[in-house]
Parts: sequence; structure tokens; C-alpha cells
Amino acid sequence: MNVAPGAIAFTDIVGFTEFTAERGDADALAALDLQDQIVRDTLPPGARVVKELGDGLMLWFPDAATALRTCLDLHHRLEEAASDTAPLWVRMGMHWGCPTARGDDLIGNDVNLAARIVDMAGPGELLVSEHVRAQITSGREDVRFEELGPVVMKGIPEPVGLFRASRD
Amino acid sequence: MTPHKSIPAPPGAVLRVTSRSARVTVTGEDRSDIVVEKGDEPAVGPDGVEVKGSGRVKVRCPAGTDVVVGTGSGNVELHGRLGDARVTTGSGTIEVEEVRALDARTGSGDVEVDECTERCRLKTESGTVRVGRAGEADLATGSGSVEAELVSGARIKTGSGSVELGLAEAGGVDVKAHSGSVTISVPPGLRPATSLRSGSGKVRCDCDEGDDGEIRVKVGSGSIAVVER
Repeated sequence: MNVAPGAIAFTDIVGFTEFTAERGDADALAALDLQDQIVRDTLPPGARVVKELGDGLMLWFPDAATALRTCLDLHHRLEEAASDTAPLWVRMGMHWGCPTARGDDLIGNDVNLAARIVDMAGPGELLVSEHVRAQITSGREDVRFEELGPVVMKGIPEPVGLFRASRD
Repeated sequence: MTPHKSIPAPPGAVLRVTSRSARVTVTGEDRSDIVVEKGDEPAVGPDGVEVKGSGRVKVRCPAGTDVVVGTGSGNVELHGRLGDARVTTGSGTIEVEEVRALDARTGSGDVEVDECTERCRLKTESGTVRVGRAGEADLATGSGSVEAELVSGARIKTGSGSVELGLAEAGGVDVKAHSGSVTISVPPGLRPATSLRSGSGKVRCDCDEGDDGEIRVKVGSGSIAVVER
């Protein structure tokens, strides 16, 4: 069943494998717990964690402006909370589309695309598809978009315009 | 031999090259047209001049042209002098001769930049990053080393690779690495503010503490050295 259109975001902790190898499972677990806490404290009503994927998360937002604001806030809070025992170098990717519900999970081409976008992001970055940017029409959002160009991603048939979103 | 396809370069037009799996070469040189030596017919669109192709794409354009290149799995080479450049490739190497500003990303290849006069943002998952001269450099690798000969400032994050950085002048440097040695060379007499922390490695700073910019390095395991050139 298709759900209403919304923003699908994926997060990923950069270098988490190296960190776990270096510091051990206990520190890795502490870092994940801290990330969980910050994300759940930051998500606005209507948004939710769809699922956890190792050190990453899949998030759902009913509107793009809220999604952008929240993800940029998340970056700020994660950066502030980062420490020697929890270096939360998180990257994020976001796409706007109509996924299909499978229980509490969301699946479909738009989900796959969002998952590919995060792969292109560096630590501390939020990359969004042109579909997300198209949703931001008011001009009131204090978000700056820098075009990365049409990006060819594995398994996605057509190049997708990507933008780097940051606080203006 | 296939004839070259040429169109006059519209003033200020951005050259956009996309391909699913081509090796892409763009050369900025003293000319007024855009020539496609290998690739499809160029098309003038609302966003600039678009060139597509597969296997091999080779384009020549006026020096200083802004360029956007997106390819799924091929190497990308930018030769000559170009303007602002944005490059993404899923799994190829990226080589850049001279650009004004640069954003270059690859999944698993090396990135090598000779000169970038303004901001230089580079990211690779598992390759190395090498920069000759750049303005502010924002460099990220998952498991590869970083070498930057001369930059005016840098933010570097690397999972497990060594970092060698040359600071051209008093500027801001912020290096974070899970593991790997970090060496930063500064001009003689520079007195930067420093914050150098390693979980398990030697820390050495040859400079006197001062306020000529700030150098911050945090490494999980590995040595840190700030040395005068």
C-alpha cells in the first residue's frame, strides 16, 4: 500500500567499523545509544524512525521543510555531542517520494534512491535529491542548496540531481 | 574517423557531462567553442551544454568553463584550466589539473588535484586523496590517506589513513582520524593555537603557542606532529 508522499532520510556513521575495531564493542554500543537518544529527542511529531540499519537509521517525515530542518538540527546536535568515546561523524541522504508500506517498514524505489544518496555524502553532510528541493517553495527556509549535478547511482536508471543542504 | 561535434560556447554556460559508465576527460583551453571528440552530440539546454556518452567521453571547452560531471563507474580527468567543477563517480579515480573551486566525490577511487584556487571539497570511501595547492580544503576518506601539500586551511576526517598536510599561512586546521599518523607542516615562525590529542600515540609540536590561526587534531590511535617547514 502506497503511503502519502513524504521525505525519506537515511543516516550513517562514517568510520564506524574502524572505530569499533579500534575501541571495542562497548564504546560502539555507547555511541549508538547516544545517537538513538539524540535522534529520538530531535524528531518532531509525525516523523519516525522506520528502522535501524547497523549504525544507520531510516527516518520518515511527512513534509520536506520539517525534514530538512530536523536533519540539519540533528547534524548540529550530533556534532556537539561527539566525543572521544562517541565520534558521531554522521552523514545523511534524503529523497522525497511515495514509498510502499510493509507493516511498519517502508519499501520501494524511492526508499532505494534515498539509501543511495547517503552513500555520496561526506561526514557532517546532508545531501538531498532535486525532489526534496522542489518541495521547498516558500523561500522562507534558511537552507542553502549547492548543486552537485546529475549523479549516476548504482541501480538507479536515470541520473538524479543532488544538492548539498546546509544552514544559510 | 568520427568527425568532432562542435558548438559555440554560450557565454557563462555550464558544461554538463553525464554517463553511466564512461571514462570522461574534459579539457579547458584557449578556445571559444565546445568540441566533443568522443561522445554524443552536445545539446544546449536551460542548464547549460549537455554531453552524454558511454565508453569514452572526451570534451574540449573554453578555459574557465564551469563543469559538472556525473558518471557511474568511470574515471574522470579534468585537464587544463576550468572554473567551478563538480564531479561525482561511483567507483572511479578523479584527476584534476587546475580549477577555481571543486567538489569531487568517488565511492572507491583516488582523488588527485594539482591546483584549486578556492574551496576544495573532496570525498572518497576507500581511496587516497592528494592535493597540490588549494584554498580551504574539506577532505574526507573512509580508509585512505590524505596528502595536501599547501592549503590555506583544512577540515579533514579520515577513518584509517595517514594525514600529511602543509599549511600555507595562518589558518584553521581541524583533523579528526580514528587511526593513523598526522603530520602538519607550517611556515617558519608561525605560532598557532594548538589542540593536539591522541588516544595512543606520540604528540610533538615544534611551534610556540600563539594566535596565528588554530590547529586542532584528534586521533584515536596514531602519532601527531606539527613541524616547521
